[in-house]
Amino acid sequence: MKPILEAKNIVKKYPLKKPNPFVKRRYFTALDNVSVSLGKKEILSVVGESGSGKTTLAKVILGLEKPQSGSIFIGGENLNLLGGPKQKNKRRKIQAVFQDPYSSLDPRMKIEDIILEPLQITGESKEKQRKILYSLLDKMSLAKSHLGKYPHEFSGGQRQRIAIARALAVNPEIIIADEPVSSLDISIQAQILNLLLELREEFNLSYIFISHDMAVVYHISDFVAVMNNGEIVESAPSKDLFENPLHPYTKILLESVPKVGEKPRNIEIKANADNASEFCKFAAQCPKYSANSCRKEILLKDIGNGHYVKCARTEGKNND
Amino acid sequence: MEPLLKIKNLSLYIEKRGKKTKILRNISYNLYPSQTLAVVGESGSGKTLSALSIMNLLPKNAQTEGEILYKGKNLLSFSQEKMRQLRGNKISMVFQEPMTSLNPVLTIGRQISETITTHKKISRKKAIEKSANLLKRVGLSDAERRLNDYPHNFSGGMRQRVMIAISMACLPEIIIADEPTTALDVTVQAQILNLFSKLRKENEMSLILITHNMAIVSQYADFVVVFYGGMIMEKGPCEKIFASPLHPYTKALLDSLPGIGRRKIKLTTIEGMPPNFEEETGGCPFYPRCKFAFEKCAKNLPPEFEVETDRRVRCWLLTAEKCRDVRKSFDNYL
Repeated sequence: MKPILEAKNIVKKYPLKKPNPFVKRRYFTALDNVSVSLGKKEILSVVGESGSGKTTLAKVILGLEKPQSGSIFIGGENLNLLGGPKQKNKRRKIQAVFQDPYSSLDPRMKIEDIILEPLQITGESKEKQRKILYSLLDKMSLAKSHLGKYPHEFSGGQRQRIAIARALAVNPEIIIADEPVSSLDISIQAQILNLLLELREEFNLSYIFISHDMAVVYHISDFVAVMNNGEIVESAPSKDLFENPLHPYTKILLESVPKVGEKPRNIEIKANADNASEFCKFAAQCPKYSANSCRKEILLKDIGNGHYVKCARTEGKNND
Repeated sequence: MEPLLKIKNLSLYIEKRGKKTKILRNISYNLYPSQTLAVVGESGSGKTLSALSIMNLLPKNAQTEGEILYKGKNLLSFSQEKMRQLRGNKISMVFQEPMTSLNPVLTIGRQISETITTHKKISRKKAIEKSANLLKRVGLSDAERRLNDYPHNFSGGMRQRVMIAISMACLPEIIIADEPTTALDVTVQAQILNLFSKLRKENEMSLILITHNMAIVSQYADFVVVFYGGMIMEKGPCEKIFASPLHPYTKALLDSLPGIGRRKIKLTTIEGMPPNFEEETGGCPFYPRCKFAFEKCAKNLPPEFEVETDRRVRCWLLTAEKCRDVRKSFDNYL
């Protein structure tokens, strides 16, 4: 099946402050040659710790940040090659839901205006816009009486639903959800996760779901991409990744998740600066480091079944 | 064994514009030496306020009733001066947000050693040395150099470790950790929780762990207290609560948890909204959201039934024949 969204070889660097005016400027690489693809009605989760580049990837795909190189394809068309209005039309197919519903909704706008705002660019008639508004409200189990209220009058879960309604208003195909449930209570979290899954069926949506909660990721995703230091170190169908993690970082990540009814494991990540390698950014913290293999160029390996891993210590075909 | 901390019928009122609202209602629990007690519940259920009342750090418009006995003495009757000698020394607290709980204009070394010099007769230099040791114990590398850094030089996980270092500086008997790992990545979370349990064993320290992550509770806690609407709904030893939750709320809380290895098509949700403190119904606060509620629940507040020693549940389902049918359906559901 043809992917509806593809990001190819994205590189994003941020300039660092110069310690003095005479040295060359250095850069922090937030995304290093990252590629992802998303099929119709698929949910791709991106996991990794803070600072691993998850959110930067979301921003690049949304067009909020301009990458140094790499391209984004929507429905097979390269966004870089499309002109202004055409590109805008394509971009409308991607919408975002952010982590904190307390700060992603304008506190001085009524709910009605928040959801109607994106509809105004669609060129639909006023009546049609109203119709869409009411049907969205209904989907999100919000009442018409809520329309005149302001965001502060709602609970966290309701606000997140308003944010989702706003994202759905322009009829997108892809939703990028950046930690949409991490600031919510567990019972509310379950409501929002169920809602996201229902909406996928109803509107044929695809999601890129960014999270650091592995249990949530396990519950919701079809594919998982694990990021570390700006690279995707492993990507696989969800079941595969959880049953057979191959990259040492993925293993550590999965072992760190507290599980009901299990004794805690002793996990310590020791950084050893001597092991740093220019080819593997995880080498310094890797428990499986070996000088022979980790200091050579490492290619993304194809394990089969859509499982890819970037580690010198894993057996598999090279893939380029 | 004598409990180290005994909370007896604690109630708390907040006064706003001349209106008194009851936030905590008759909270009672005991904390024993070197025990980990987990306090769970939704946001707004009163978890944090009950912790703040132990530290006597309540807002000015709060009034308390009841007793908090620490080694037999009522903390609520302590003067500010006396309380100050206790805070950070015998009882200390790790706050929820490491980003805002450190002073941005003081170095880390100053902030850790401050706690030590306040409570112990010890020179500034010695205190700084001690601080470096503490930082090493919480797993920060290059501790001596980092003492001169400011909070903004640290990442969230590192700041949280600094907070933990401060809380342990005087080897307190009780540490209250309010959602110590919510803002952290899973790998760091595991390290911090392991650090707590190590310290607990080494120093015979008791820990009150406030969290809404049930998986963490099941791994680290000895005793669990479940809060809902400012009341304790269920309390008991950790294994028993997880093996057979008796209150419908506890059950629902455990069910709504997504878990690795047991994928469900749909997560169970708790329908409805958390209770509003301003309207007191007289009935069970969980009544509007409870799947097993019947007439009695709407009007009468259930008392705490003692199911076993150490295990108490506030729910009418546990009573007599009258509600046998409901009880039956609940058992099937379990």
